[in-house]
Amino acid sequence: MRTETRSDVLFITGFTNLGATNAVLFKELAHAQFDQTHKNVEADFSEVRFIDSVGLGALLSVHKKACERGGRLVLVNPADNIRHFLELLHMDKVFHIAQL
Amino acid sequence: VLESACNASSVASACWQLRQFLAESGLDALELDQWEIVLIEAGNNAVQHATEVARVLPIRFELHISSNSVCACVFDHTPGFTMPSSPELPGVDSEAGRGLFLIQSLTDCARYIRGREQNCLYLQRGRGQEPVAMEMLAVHGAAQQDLLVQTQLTLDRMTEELASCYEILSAIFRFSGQFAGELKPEAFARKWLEDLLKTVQGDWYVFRVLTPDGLGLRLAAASNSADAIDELPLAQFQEKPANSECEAAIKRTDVWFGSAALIPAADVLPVRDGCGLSHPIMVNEKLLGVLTIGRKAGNSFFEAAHVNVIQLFGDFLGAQFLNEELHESQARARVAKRELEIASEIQHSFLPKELPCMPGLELATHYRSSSLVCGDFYDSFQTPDGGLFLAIADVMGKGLPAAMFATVFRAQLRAGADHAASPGAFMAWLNRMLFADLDRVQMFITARFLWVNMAERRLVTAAAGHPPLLVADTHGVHEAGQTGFPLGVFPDSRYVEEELALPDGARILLFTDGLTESEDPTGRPLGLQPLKDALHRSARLQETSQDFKCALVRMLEEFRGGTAAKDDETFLVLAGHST
Repeated sequence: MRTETRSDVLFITGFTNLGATNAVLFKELAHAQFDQTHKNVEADFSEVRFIDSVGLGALLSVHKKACERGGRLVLVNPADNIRHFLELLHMDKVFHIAQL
Repeated sequence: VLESACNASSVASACWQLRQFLAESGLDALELDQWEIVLIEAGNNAVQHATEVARVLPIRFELHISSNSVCACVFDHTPGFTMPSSPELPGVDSEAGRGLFLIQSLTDCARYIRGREQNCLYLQRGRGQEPVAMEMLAVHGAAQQDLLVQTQLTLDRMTEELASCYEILSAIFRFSGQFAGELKPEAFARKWLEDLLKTVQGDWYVFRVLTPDGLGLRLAAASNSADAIDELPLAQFQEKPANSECEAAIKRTDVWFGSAALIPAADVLPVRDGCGLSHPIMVNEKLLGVLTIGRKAGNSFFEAAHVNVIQLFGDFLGAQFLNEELHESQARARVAKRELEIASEIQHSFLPKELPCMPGLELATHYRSSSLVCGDFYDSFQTPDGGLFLAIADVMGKGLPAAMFATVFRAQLRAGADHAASPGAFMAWLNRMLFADLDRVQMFITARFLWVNMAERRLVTAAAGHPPLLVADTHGVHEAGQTGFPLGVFPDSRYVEEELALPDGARILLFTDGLTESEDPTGRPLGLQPLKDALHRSARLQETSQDFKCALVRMLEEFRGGTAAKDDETFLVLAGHST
């Protein structure tokens, strides 16, 4: 899992699951890297094959952080099963989903 | 079956393996994704809430796959939780609290079963279909609606059944205390059956018990006893029972009756119309009575649950009646036993408390009853002329009647003591006095009298159907065996008197047939000879009467070989001192 900055966007990439095993890491990494220069967060979901409720909790935490700066969390290129998961929990209305 | 250590990565790894297993079983990608989420959520809960000591225990996953469904059981060691019927999603501000929602949304059935040492989350979902929530069943067509209706009906019936069980139990608790003391059986039955009427919404009842001869049904209680006849004969209706009550009693089965086909001779029941049930009350496969309960015309038959209540109320009533009968018979037995004890005490009080003591003679007696009261009797007294009178008697039979006549015999004996010096005349007089009473009840008494004239050293004896008198000295044994009819057989019987000399150092024995008819363990009777031998030996040894008595009792016991005596045993032994 790694991060990079492009303009005011913090990119988080390099993960294939987001669950109880790495949700804390995801959250701490995002919070640590999200500094004054950032407004938005984009998480690369193109390689993610699985997410659970703990992983979703980490996303919500990061989402709140971005909102505080007037920004947003964008999930980039999630697979269908991830989309279904988000829809089931009505999170498709909360996060911005981008298909690039 | 898979077991995972109690941490997130082990759970993730286990769920991945389970996913692979499900894939091999032919589940499609969507099902696999959803099952993986469900299992992960279940596993994560088990890890997150595990107690401190349970962290070393594994989390167990079980999968059961059939052609149309998948079931999973996840066993945890947490304090457990209550599964909400419809979990709600938390607000977006909350980062947690969505696991149960996911589990319930992605399965058809999710149940959480709490156990003592572990809990089980049971999950089930059909294959090849989207999960179906329970509330959606109603819109799945008429078949499902029918199913729901049927299920509801079944539940209603079960509820009714449970309610009836509750009614029965509460009635039993309510009434069993009352029956224990305050109420007579009939009064208890009336209260009990009035309660039954209310419980089963019945209108009337008739409760009959079998008469002691088993030939009829006697009315014990009825909601309107004026309309029910007192006794129903059963015997004449064996072929074609008169009504449902008789039929239930004869066939030992429940008999239903209805207004359309009312039983013949219905006027023995308190209503001429209506419907109901006659239930035979059986206790230990024995018919105790019949309970008939009915509803008035125009009402429906009793429902199944009500029938259960009627049967159980009836059977409980039967058990209470039987208990009451047992109590009564036990009480009667206790009274009878006490009466026998009193009779025994009275009888013993009539035996001589002290034996007469004469110079040159000593007397010993033995008296043992084979039952509480005895038919044997003896007496001894000095006569005014200085002689000694001895009597021994045996009333035919045993028990209370024999004891009563022994008592009467003793009273007459003392009343006629003036005749003692002439035993034959005394016996004839006594026979005349007792004949009417004995003849009326067809009983008789055997007896032997002995008068000892010490001055003239002679013995005079007479007997009424009684064993001989034995007189032994050092030379041998003499037997005075003449006897007349027992007392009570003929009104004017005569009795021959036999006279014997009283030798020096004689040993004299009077006894009842309980001695000679005493049996060894093979059933062989003792007979007369062993008594004669024993008496002769005693004369030779010049034993005291007490020593001879002890020796004879010991001999009888050894002969019986530990078996109980079948008859009463009585004997008198007289020892004359050598001059």
